[in-house]
Amino acid sequence: MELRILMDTGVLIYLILQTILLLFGTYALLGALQILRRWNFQATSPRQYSLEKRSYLVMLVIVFLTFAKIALFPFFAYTLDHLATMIPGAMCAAGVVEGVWFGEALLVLKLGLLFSGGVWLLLNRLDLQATDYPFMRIKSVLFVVIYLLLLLESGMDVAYLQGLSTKTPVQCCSVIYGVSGEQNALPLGLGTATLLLLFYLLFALQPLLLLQRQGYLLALANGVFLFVGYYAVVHFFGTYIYELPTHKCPFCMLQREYYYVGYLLWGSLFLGVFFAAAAAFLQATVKKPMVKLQRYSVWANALFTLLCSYFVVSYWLKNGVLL
Amino acid sequence: MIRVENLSKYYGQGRERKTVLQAIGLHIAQGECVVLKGVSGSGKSTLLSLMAGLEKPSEGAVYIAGEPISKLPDLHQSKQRNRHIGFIFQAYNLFEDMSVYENLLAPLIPRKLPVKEVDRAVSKALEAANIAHKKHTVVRNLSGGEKQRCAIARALVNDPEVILCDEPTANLDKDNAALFTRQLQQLKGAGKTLLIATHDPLFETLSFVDRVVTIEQGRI
Repeated sequence: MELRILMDTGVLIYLILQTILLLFGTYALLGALQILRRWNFQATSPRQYSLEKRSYLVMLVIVFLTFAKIALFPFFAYTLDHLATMIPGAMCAAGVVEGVWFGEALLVLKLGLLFSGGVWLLLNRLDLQATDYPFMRIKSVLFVVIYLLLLLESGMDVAYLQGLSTKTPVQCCSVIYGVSGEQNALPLGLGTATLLLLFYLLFALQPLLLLQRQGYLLALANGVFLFVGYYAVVHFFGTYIYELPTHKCPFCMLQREYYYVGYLLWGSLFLGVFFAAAAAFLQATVKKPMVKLQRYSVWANALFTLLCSYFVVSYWLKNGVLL
Repeated sequence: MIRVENLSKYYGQGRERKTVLQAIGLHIAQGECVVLKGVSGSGKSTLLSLMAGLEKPSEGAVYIAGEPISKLPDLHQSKQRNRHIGFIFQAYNLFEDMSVYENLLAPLIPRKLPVKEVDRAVSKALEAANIAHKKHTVVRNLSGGEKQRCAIARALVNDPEVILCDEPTANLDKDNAALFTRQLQQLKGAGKTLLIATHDPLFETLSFVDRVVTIEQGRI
């Protein structure tokens, strides 16, 4: 690990917090394993009572851990963006992510962890609303999975930061997402017009699916919307945020020059997809429709779509032309 | 109405472990008035706390109106207690800086009742406990007997089926103690289930007491 990167304030804070959270997680894991082995809510034995007592603390630790991880993710993105000033060739987080071959996989893993943590929080809420902890075992199994992901993430974090070099130049967004870049082409041979049509159609479909109470289809539509939304932002809407037709990057919009709008934009898309996916998962687990969560999903996606559209409309109103 | 099964309570672990209650079994029918008699330290207050869901047992279970209150998660335990149980504490446990009226509002807050219903419930409880004339007096300025009546009113404000009293006459003079027993008799007449933990021999002689249960060193 290069000392300059290790000694960066953001990296130091991130690593220390991640280590503390991992310790908290280890404590919670021991509790979750004990619950999985011995939990029997019907029993009135000393062991069960003491397990119930311990479960309060274990659940509280997991709640804290999950909220801390949610807060830590944008901080990690911010730190990556900041590291761009140290890595030759990097102008934003895109270059820093590309600085190590598994950088993108690490980001996907972090998102997966946030999604799993969010589902755990919702499951915990449902569990506490019931009188007999019906989801205690499912919650514990889910936490064991989350812990393993957390462990993998911590290992990858260290390997990733160790792999970053302040001497070797990296490619950044203008190359990666530029005209000749490998990630420039739209998938499935889509054109920009088709992509936009698909984007707005998928958005319009979501309230209809909500009204029809089609939770699983809404989750599926959100899965496709995540994919289409990502490409639509990088290839079309992003150019209006940057006001440059050739600049296509999912990360630059996280910078100060663009008023950190990327956090709100990506945050609303991820939230929308999360709520729809979590609603489907919980509907399958709890066997009850999760209309409230589905409604949140539609609202978050509406915010995302409005924000995207705003930049295009605003540019057109200001300049009278489109890019 | 109240069913206690194999209830035990220990504090500490290993050599430090202190057993306060051991394998208690008790059944109290609806409308029954039971006196739990025992010397200080015999486990009366602990048993009452477990029955009210103020503490978790180490073993066994307590059922109130068929619900296992000792097994419920904290939130549901509080709701169950709020709905079914009125508790009169030895030291009253009132908010000293609040008025009698405000003290009675506290148990009604979780029920989110309309203001008119809240006023009706408070007035009814104040009348029943004979403390309506002190409605707006700050508790700190009340006498011991008045505080006791305020505590009774608070225990009654949610119209619970079960009233648990922990050493209710310990801080009262003879006249106030007699007044308190008359109020208990009225509650018994209204069909409430009463459990009175006390070492005061006065309760053994009362005509409306159905049963006296003796607790000694944590055993019945």
